[in-house]
Amino acid sequence: MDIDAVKLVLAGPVGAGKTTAIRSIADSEPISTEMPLVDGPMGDKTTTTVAFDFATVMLDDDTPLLVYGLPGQEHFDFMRNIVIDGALGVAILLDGQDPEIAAQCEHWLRAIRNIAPDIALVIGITKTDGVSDFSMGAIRAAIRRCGPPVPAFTFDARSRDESMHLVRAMLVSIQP
Amino acid sequence: MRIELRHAGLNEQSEQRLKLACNLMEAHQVRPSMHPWDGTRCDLLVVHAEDAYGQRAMEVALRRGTPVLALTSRDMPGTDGVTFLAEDSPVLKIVQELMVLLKAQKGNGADAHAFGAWGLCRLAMDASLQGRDLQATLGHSTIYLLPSAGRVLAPGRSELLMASDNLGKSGWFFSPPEGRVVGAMSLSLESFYIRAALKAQAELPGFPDGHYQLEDWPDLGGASELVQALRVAQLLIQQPLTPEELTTRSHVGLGEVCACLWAYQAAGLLHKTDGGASQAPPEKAYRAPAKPAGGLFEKIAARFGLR
Repeated sequence: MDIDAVKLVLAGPVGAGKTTAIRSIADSEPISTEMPLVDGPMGDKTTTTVAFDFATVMLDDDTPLLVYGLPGQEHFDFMRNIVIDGALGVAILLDGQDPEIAAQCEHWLRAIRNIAPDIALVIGITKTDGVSDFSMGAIRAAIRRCGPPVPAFTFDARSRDESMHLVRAMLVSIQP
Repeated sequence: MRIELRHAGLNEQSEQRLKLACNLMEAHQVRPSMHPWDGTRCDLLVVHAEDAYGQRAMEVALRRGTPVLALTSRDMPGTDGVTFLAEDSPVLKIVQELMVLLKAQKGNGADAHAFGAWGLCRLAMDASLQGRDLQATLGHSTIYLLPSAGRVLAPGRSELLMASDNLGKSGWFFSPPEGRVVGAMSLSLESFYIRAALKAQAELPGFPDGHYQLEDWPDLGGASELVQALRVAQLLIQQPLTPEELTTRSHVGLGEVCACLWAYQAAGLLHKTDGGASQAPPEKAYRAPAKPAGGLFEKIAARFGLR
């Protein structure tokens, strides 16, 4: 790993809140490749990331932590190898309102572990506050099917504190 | 931890020594509430072994399984549940014996109800409530505790805050949910329990001794200010640990560690194991990811509030 350019990657399906979470933790406005959704808006979401999002978090000695957001569409899956290579960890973001969330969780966990089997992972689930039938049970079962345990947190991607806490959960799994 | 200590048949000098001992127990993070024996349940009883009233209180306490410290002017061997101690023993010796009795009581999986912190301890220890979806009512407020979904539901934020503030207290009524479970507010059950447990930390008993492990991560996303709960969870995911081992490895105080354990147990996520080895099959066992070298990881950790 190049210690002068450590990376943190956010992955997950379209509309999970990756760009919003990057905006919450980054020191500056992310550089995004946002394009209008071809099939029209998904709720409040009118654009989607077509290449990747990029932002930096500056460490104490001005070393940059590079933060990348992968596009959610499957036809961009060729980018995953390139972006994840050398990354410190990956945060997989999922949409809590998606009825297929457990399948999405399993799909993304397997996809990332196929590329980097021992990489630090965390799962962040957005938009759960008002969903009275949201359940962590199916997500925990999906995680168990995919190997060692991974932190899975519900959080608000618009909240800096909660987005930072998600990264913190990933970091504690790296600590000895 | 607050405990109820009762005494019976002590002379004035012994009572004074016991008062001093109770004050010194605070150094062990134990706050005894010391009163004369009134026949009700308590955590520890101190009697004078040669006093008739003291003997009567001791008989009742032993039937209930309450540990007894008996002061005596004669040399007497200890029996199950009773420690005899010379009545002119130094105060520090009294403290030492009381702590031994208290620890033995906790180690035996003492009835958590006896210590206070009713709501949370009942949810954690009562077999009829463990892991069940419940309707929880305190006064006119009702919330839904759903371990099956890892969620707590409430009509609004104020009901959740009230419940979190009071979950360590008595007066809760738990029952299976009636009808369809709905709530305008849906939050992580584990974050809710952690906040409640840390709030009631002073009243919570120590967590019973034993090795414990988490198979699934608790959802701590809604408790972003509670880094200690994250550290405790990470260690419990790696391997089974006792409360004291957790304290040493996490550098989190025993009180906070126990609060986390009560919360994870109430959420139905904590498992007691036979020993220190991980129970997970090798393919599911935790593997620590690679850590960046050159002090870079420490800088990143500090930037995200881990130091």
